[in-house]
Amino acid sequence: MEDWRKIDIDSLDSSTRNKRLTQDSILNNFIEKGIIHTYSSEELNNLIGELSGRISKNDFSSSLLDIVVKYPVYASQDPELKLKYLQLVNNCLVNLKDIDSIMKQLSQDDADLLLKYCYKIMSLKQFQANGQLIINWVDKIIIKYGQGAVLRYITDRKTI
Amino acid sequence: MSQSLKPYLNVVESSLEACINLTNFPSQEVERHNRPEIEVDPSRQSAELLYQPIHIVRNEFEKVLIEPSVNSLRMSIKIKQSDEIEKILVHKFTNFLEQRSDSFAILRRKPISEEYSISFLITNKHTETMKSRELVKFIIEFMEEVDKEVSEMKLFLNARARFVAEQYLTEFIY
Repeated sequence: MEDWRKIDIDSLDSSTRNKRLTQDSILNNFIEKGIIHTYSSEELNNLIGELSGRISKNDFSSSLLDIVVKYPVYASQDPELKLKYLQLVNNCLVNLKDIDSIMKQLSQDDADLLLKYCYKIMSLKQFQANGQLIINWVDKIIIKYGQGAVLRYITDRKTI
Repeated sequence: MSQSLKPYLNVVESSLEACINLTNFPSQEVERHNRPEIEVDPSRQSAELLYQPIHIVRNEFEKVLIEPSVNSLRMSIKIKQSDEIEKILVHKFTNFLEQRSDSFAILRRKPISEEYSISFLITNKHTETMKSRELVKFIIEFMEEVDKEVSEMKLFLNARARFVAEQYLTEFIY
């Protein structure tokens, strides 16, 4: 047996606080376990291309639903591209006027995801000028799904 | 209340109500300490105690930041300041309140950063002794009233300035 005097028994004690969880370590853990998909620059570029194509055709409602349902960009290799993607999502949200009809098509999980996008967009300085339009979305989501939606947002560690 | 203010206040209200579920939580770091976890230096804080912060932004001049944690929540408000006079009035007004924060249980002595005008800090001790619904209601009322108050003060200030200037300048009429 190895020298038992040298074993650091404190590190085996679950109550020791020498290992602090950080936001990054939680995210990395999710990525390692395959819960979150990390978008490579190429994948994200394709996504951005597809989305901006639809936006240029003024095809707002379906493109928005596609983003929300299919591609939650939780992690990406290139933060610049992620910002560009958020810019497009912001574009969609601001330009979509018929909120009620889209809300009818959204399931609860979709709405939770949309709420994450809304709060994220509002937290970024460059998108704050259009805050009122984003607030209308959040308001509609909360009216439909109640405070549960907010609670799920603040406790969910999979963040955009 | 204007049409666009209502959704803003609704969102703030329900977000705040969702975040105000606070519980007693003794410090993990220091024995026999019980501190608001949101106020602990983030570099020495463990992430599982903090929840996702919520930004609610109407425009660059009016926004709210809610930072929830397991036993406390911090809420910062930026009050609308459209010109220099309003800036001074808001600064004086918030300063006045902050200096009396000892008797104003939930008020923080300083806003969390330059970006915001005023901050509230609600801990589990407050929600144990006060009704949390009423606390939320109070903050929403405060947000509604403060805008009115500031524009009223601005009107009084202008009227007073005009009167003083008139009185002073009549001296020079021959």
